[in-house]
Amino acid sequence: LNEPSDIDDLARSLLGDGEAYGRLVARYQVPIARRMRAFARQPQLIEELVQEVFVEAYYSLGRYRGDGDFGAWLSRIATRVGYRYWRRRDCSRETGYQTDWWRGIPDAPIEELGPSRAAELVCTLLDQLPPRDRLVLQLLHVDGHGIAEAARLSGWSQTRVRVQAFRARAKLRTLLAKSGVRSLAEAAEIELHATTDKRPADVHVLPENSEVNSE
Amino acid sequence: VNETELLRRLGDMAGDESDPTLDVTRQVKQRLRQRRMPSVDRKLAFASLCACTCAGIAVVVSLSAPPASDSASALAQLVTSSTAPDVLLRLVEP
Repeated sequence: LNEPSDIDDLARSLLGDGEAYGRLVARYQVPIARRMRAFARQPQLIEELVQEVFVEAYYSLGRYRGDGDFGAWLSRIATRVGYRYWRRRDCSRETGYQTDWWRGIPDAPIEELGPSRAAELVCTLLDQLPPRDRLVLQLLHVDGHGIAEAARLSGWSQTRVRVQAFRARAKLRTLLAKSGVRSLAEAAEIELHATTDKRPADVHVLPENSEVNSE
Repeated sequence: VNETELLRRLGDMAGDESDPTLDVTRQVKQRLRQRRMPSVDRKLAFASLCACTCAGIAVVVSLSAPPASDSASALAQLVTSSTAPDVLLRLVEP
């Protein structure tokens, strides 16, 4: 009944009360973990990213003005932590991008995939793109945010979000065309098939060194 | 159906995923404790920065000032530029 509110816990956290911050972590860790699932799929990694979000949030508490929802403020930090993770991983990627990523797509209509498989498919698909393109597509088209919200979450300007989205969509289109998935999806009202031998003959297949993965 | 529609539909489906189960409270507290290492005192750092800036300004001003023309300054300049005994004599003589 007398559960302290976010504001109380924030005020106490600013004074160094670890228990108060612990309550905030307990209250928001599940929504943040849900958010981080867009950036990583392995539970261990998600947990580490969630920890990183709360550690970073703690050191940024002084900058929280208290005029908005604390969850939304955390979500902004989570997006940036996730993006940073993608960039770190992108830099250390030794083998480059997969060339046969679509082989993992099940031979079933999209509606039969199930939520987890659909989330994994989005991850696999967008993982073929550079982090900037991936972020903008994730925010605008997977999460369904508007331009203003995507700009707020990413910390980019709205113009940058628009331009980046335009480029990212073009790269995604090329990627799908390259693998033949787009045409299959169009033919079967988004029925994704795994086998490459179903690739229609009229699909323009780009050379391996196309611009899809270039920054 | 275009690529954005594909993403939207996949995103809608992914949104129905069950909530993850985790408890990172203890780990977060532990990481915060580990990071609370002695850090640079902000006030001290600011004071040092101000002192360095003032010293820098003083050096620039003294280097850019024109040579002094009055006798006291000339004498001072003479003393600073030389420690020969005749200079010392001139100083003590009226």
